[in-house]
Amino acid sequence: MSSTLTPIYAANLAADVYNVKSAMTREDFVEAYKTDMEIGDGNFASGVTGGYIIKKPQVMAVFSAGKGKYKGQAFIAIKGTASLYDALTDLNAGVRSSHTGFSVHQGFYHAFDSIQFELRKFLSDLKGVSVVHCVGHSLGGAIATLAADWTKANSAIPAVKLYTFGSPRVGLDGFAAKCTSRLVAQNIYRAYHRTDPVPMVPTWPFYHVSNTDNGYLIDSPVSGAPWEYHLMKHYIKSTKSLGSWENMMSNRPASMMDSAVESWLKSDSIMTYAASALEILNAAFIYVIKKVINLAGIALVTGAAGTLTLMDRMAMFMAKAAKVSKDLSIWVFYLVRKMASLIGIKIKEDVDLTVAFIRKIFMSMHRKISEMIWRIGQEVS
Amino acid sequence: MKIIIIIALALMFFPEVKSMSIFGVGKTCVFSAVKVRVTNNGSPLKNIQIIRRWEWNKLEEEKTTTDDNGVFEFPAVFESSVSRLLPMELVIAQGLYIVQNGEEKKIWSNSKREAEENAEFDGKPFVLNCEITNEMKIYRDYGSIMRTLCTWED
Repeated sequence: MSSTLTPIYAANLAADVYNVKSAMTREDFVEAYKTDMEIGDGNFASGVTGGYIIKKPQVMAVFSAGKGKYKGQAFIAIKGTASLYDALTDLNAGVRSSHTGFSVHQGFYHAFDSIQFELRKFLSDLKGVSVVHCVGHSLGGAIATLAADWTKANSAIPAVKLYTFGSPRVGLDGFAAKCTSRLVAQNIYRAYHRTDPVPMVPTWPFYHVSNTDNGYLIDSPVSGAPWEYHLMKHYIKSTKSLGSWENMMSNRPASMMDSAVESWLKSDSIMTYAASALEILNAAFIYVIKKVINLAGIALVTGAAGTLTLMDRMAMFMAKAAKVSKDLSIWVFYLVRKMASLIGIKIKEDVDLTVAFIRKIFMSMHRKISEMIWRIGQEVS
Repeated sequence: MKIIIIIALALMFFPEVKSMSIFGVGKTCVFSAVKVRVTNNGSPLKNIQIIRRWEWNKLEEEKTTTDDNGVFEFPAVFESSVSRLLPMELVIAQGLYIVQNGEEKKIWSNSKREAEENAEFDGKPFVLNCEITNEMKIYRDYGSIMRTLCTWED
């Protein structure tokens, strides 16, 4: 028996969980899923078991045992709220140790923390369930990832499956690796459109789950609105037209090859804001980091202790690598040169790659983006 | 203004995007113009109170009454919010209610996910026939969950 949700079912559920916010449409959600879920109109506080709707400032969720076709299964569908958007865009993002012990984004940690008590209670009441489906779009996808990881780590349920649409990155490489091995890569269905900007943030050192493949990448055009293809209506259309996960996988566009990243890094051309430049920059970061770790054995310390931001740690790591050997320093130089060109600075080959210098480049890039934002803010308000 | 960083990211990395287009997104149709005929066993329900509610950033409502033919109309409503500048799912809860003997009865509800007018019925005018003895049914024809006892022409 296959107990994997179809792409269209998962997409509809990720979209429909938004309906629980308003009382007007909450009852429609319950009605629409009454043949698949044990959920009733009751909320967690009213003490019903089987299924309930959780409403917290940062998260809304539906936890329910399955029924009918989904008997022996359970659903965890999550939506994030606007208050979480800060977390997504904080380039100096703080990390902290997740509920399962690995570094994850602080904002997502707190959001998951707010529903952990209810999740524990829900899981302990579940009887005879062999698979839990965790579903979410956007920030909801990030929290669903933490929920799936925690559920697998803290219950005896044989399979926990994760389905996300346009999810941002959730944690650092340790989390991505552990979560992937815990859930098993085949149980992770991370769908995202090529022109959806949200899965591109936060940038390195955050990694997607699963960390062993490129997820279910779906081709999409560039649209008039920057995040048109982040919207669930497009994920619903895409999953409808592609049909199955197998189809989505076989229609996946080619991933970024190491050789492409290498030649991009080596090229001295001015970095233009071409589509997917952030994607290449991110791939380039990972490429250089891997080189440094493999060749020099320097570890990137990303623990939660201390007051250093990720930007600081990144600068220290890069500067240290640059001192090790000519082979390495050239790659760090290429990377810093690319970032510098992004802020309109041309650097010379004999530049001293100190922590302060690298940090300055990182921060200038951050500032440039912030200035742009400030301007946009002025124009709209 | 941290929350708008993502806009900048999107603009930086998708230069094909006309930056002006994001400044036009404020205006959002939260409820399209409505024309509905309400009947009870085929006879028009005259002079009954109708409530239309919607909830985007906050819950709002307006009222009217049916005419001698059981017909009521509402004009389209537009609202603006800077939240449209975030990569957020647009979610507007919508409902139509009749009031009989002091009790409200829902006859139509929907989750509107697109800013355009008439998005409720995928561009078609919002014209319904509502026979209140019908049962409420779920429809997924237009993407999100619509629940109603009313019918419309395809």
